[in-house]
Amino acid sequence: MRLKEQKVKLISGWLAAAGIVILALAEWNCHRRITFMMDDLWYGTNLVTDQALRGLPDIIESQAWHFMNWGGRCMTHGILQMTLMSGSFAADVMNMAAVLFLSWMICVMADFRKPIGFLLASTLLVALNANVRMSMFWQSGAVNYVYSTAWILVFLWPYLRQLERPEAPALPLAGWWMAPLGLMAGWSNENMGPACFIVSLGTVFYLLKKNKARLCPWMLTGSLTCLAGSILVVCAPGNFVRMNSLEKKTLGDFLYDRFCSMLHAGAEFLFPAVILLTVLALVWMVCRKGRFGPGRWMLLALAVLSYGAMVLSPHYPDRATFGTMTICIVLSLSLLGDILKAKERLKISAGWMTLAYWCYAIYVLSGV
Amino acid sequence: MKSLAIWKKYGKWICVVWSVFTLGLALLTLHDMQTAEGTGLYLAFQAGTRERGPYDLLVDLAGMMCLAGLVLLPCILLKQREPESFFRFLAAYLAFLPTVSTAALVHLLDGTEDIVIRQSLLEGNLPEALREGMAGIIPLLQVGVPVLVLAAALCREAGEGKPGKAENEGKCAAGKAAWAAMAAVLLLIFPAVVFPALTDICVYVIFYALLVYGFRLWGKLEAAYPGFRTWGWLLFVFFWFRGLDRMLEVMSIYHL
Repeated sequence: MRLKEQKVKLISGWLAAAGIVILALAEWNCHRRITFMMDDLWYGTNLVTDQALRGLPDIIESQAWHFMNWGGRCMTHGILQMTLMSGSFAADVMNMAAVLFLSWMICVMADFRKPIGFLLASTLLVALNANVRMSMFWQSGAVNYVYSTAWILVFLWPYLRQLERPEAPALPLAGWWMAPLGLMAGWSNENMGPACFIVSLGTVFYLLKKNKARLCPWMLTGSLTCLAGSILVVCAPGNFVRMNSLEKKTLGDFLYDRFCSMLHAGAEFLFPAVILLTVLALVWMVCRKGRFGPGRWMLLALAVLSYGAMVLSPHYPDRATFGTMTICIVLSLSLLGDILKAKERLKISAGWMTLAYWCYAIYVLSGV
Repeated sequence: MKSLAIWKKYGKWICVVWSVFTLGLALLTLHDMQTAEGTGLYLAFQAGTRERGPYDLLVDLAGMMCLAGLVLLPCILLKQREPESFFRFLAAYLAFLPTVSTAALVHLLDGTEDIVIRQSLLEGNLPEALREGMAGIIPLLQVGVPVLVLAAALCREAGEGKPGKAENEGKCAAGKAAWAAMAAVLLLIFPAVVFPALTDICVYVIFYALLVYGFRLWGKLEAAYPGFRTWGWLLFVFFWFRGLDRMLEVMSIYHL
């Protein structure tokens, strides 16, 4: 019996590895096929002089102009300009590494560090995505969504880790790297940045009030720099320049437009991710009588806040749901991991579910 | 607790009112779509008159009767006759089922749309034929199939360890019905791929068969785990919003 179990474990491990490799190859193929386009061509130049980028001074000059005249996402767009300057092949290598790293971070956040977990994470990033082409393979999309979501997860991980295990020692040199990471997380984009700050602050308050924990310097510096980044991304003068150029609407039209845009984002773009999360949450709560721990509540709050913050935006494009979708994947994997721990027999069904999502992901990638 | 008591007292009526409201929205959507497509106008011309009003009304009535009938049918067949069940199936139907064009249906039924073999198949391009014919079915792998697999496993598990009949019922719900749904899907893939005129209708029937299977599983799960009756509303309210979004989108495209 034990031998049979080991055999099954070995075979499933190999199958998961094969699935990861095939998916990664299909993704690499998409990265190579999709060249720099649309906004990439503009960001590939010095935004002030319209000349091709030649070095860091050009990027700084461009981002200063961007901040004053176009929008506050200088951190992501600065990094975007660096990747564009490095050329198509190097950018594709970095994008691929970012996707794999994001998949790994999802597993770490969900505490589901197994080959099947990694396969599910990387599969769901494609299968539940509202617009794979524009959020993962378009260079501007990759930096704005894949890269930024990856560093947001890295930033939030120490907070949520502390929340789940208050007695755990702080990560090495956290005081040093949490400050710049907080700035990057806050300055990432208009919805994820502020949501990230609120969740980090909420976590600190929870730890202080409920767990009577000592306030660590990294918690404070991380939250403060995240706040600074959020202010920079939201209050950039460029945002108001662009807002003023939009057509003015009556209050009725304005409210109806926002309602439709939020409804469409929630019920269409995020539909598959929310369905999976809701079903797994129902199974966890009803069949397993489980409860949501503080870490899960924080992640849920992050998903709701990052979605809700878009009510302030005049437009909610499908690719902008990437961050919220990723948080839904983290929560789903975390719940699935716990469900499987409680009921081993559901592993076969989880395998079939993974296969269905994987087939769909390959189908999507073949059409990108 | 107070809200639970209110729900116990008025829940049925709330479901009835909400279902009627949803059907009203569906009627508006259907009317917008079919008048823009000119289904009533086409039928009026076929009947030799230019007075389209009565024919528009006829199409609206026929469409709504079909919709109400298709939602009511599984409730009757699976003996889930409460207003809650009707609302649940209606919400899921509007969230998942593909939009049916009344004009395409009329052309298919009156023979103006020829049932011919797909061009790519005649040219020997099987991958292209599969891509075209299964484009509407593949998204099931994204939303429907994974959830149904999990629900079937839970249903099977719920039946285990229970004496005699309950165990058989649990296995039956996950077993025979699953095979029936799978057989329906596999049988319909063939005409969907071969005949382009039948693709939409086959995709519709496949989705409907799987939805009925899901509805059956939900009934069994609700019986096994009463918590689903309380928390399941999260899912169905979300389905309802998805249906609302789809109807608003259709209206925004077709509204004249």
